[in-house]
Amino acid sequence: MNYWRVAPIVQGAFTAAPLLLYGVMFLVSDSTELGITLCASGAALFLFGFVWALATPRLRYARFRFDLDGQRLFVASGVIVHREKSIPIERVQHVDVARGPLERLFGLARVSVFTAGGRTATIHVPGLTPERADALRAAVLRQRLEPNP
Amino acid sequence: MNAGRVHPIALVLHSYDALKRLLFLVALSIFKALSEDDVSDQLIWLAVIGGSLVWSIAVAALRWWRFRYHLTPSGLEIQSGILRLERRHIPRERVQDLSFEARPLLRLLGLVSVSVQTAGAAGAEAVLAAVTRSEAERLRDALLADAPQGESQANPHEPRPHESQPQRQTDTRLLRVSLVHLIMRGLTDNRAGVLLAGALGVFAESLEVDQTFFHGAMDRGRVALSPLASDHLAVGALVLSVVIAIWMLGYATSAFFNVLLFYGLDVRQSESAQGRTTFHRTYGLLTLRRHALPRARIQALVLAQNLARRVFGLAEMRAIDMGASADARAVQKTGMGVFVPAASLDTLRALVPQLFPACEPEAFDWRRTSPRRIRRTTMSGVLLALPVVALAVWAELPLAPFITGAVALVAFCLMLGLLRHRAIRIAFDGHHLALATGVLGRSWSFVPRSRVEGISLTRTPLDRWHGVASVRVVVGGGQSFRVTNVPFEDARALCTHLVGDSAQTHATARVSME
Repeated sequence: MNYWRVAPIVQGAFTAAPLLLYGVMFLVSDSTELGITLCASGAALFLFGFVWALATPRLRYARFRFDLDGQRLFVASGVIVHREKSIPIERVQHVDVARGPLERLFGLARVSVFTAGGRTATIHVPGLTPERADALRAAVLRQRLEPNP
Repeated sequence: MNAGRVHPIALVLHSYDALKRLLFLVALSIFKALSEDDVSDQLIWLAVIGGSLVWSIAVAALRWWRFRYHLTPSGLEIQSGILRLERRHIPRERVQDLSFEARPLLRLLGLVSVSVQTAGAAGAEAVLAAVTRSEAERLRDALLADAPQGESQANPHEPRPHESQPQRQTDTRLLRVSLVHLIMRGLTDNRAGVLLAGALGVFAESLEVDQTFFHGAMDRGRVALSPLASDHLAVGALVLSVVIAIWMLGYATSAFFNVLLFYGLDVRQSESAQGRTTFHRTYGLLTLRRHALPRARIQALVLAQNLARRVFGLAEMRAIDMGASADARAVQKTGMGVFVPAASLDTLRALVPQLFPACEPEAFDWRRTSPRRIRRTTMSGVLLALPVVALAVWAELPLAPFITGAVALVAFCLMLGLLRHRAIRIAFDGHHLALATGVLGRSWSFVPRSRVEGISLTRTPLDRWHGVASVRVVVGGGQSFRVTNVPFEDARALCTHLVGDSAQTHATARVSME
């Protein structure tokens, strides 16, 4: 069990939970058909998360790369749809290091780098050890102040 | 006067605002007062109306009394609030823009309302409801001056009559929008069609509700037209004339409001002694607005024309600006989002290098996206059409109409793909990214390299199969420009040009497999 495997299961569970909850509520209150539909879709979502979690951690891990080279921060991710995101270092507004409950459980941290471009121009680097997260944060801030091409 | 309240006429404006919030109550009371027979009942409702009036005026008076502003060496200080006193300091560095607006009442008195815009706040950070024009000018010169000068910082409370002029070194007119162009803008407004649809909806609804009225109208129409043609034609002519009338009304309304909002729009460029360029726009027929936009704040330029405007060679220019995107309604209402509402395309093309120096639309090396786009769009048409035909076969329906429809759909998609492929182009000249898009209309976007906040490349499995990628370029304020079907090598090269080092240099760093 590792972070890359557990995270999608938890995510799937969180997405499915409200559906399952509503489904059970409808089941109890006699709207059997709707209840079954909701329960089934919730279960399907959860199952999908589970299968995804079993099948792809290695792939997702292998696809996820990041790079910081004095000019830009670059992240490549995605198993089916490949995504490459870059932001120029001099446009960085602030950098967060966050550790959610799951990340704390596995002793990991996530770095988020924000620009003035809003959500679409924000980069998240998950799955770093806290030391590396702090180092990355420091490096981004240092390079932001003195860009070295 | 360095500290103080705004002009007392703000009382009227504030009362109006406060009363607007009670509009429902007041309207209800008036209705009730008119419909009640009993005098004592009427009095109750009249008392409610009077109470709302008094309340509005009291709130307005308090608001006016408690609002004070004060120019400090480092910025603007504002005190406001009715129950809870709020004191806010807006540092001079954060002030991006001061815009003036004069509603007819203020214009009569030679006053303006001033909105202070900062990067952080959506819309205006602070509004001074009514100040004299000279006071507004003084505030602008003080707040938008570049580095605080030594002397003025030492003694900021002295009026600086001589400093305000030399700060603006050059002041040139770039453009003046003609009335004809504004009316043309209204007459080519796509929204007139939307209005038409809405009116038709109401028309159709009235058919349901008021059959007798409609039949009456039909009969009259028939009587009027019967010497000319048969019944069917008469009905058709009646409906058609109503449709055309509503449509024309839509265009006329649009033209009217365009003239009202943008009348006499005048774009000027001023350069401060420190070399900062600001663009000033003055416009409006009844409400006079003055809006200043520093060049540093413009994130991107968009030239756009819809099909009708393309026919007339008319276009509009939008300046994507960091703060303005946040408050879309205010932008729409005040015309802030449109930099130049209407001018000939050539004029606007010539204006681009004025706003972004060395950005010459004519000099770009425009490149098309991958021709695979045509095939992909056509294929999507086929994929849409196939299930329908399959369903028809399965349900044993007559095939001819379905097959005709499917062929038409595929042909439409092919056409769309061809048009898109012809229209969509990308160019990069080392400093600016330019995009051209549009199927029926046209639009050109220009983004300086220095404003790019991020770029992302997305490749679906199909994209990889075709060797293309879709590119999204994000600028400050969250506005983004997206192009699909860019050949992968071009997309990578664009990334490299826009944000520095090539993405191909192996992004080695990995995260932990914990």
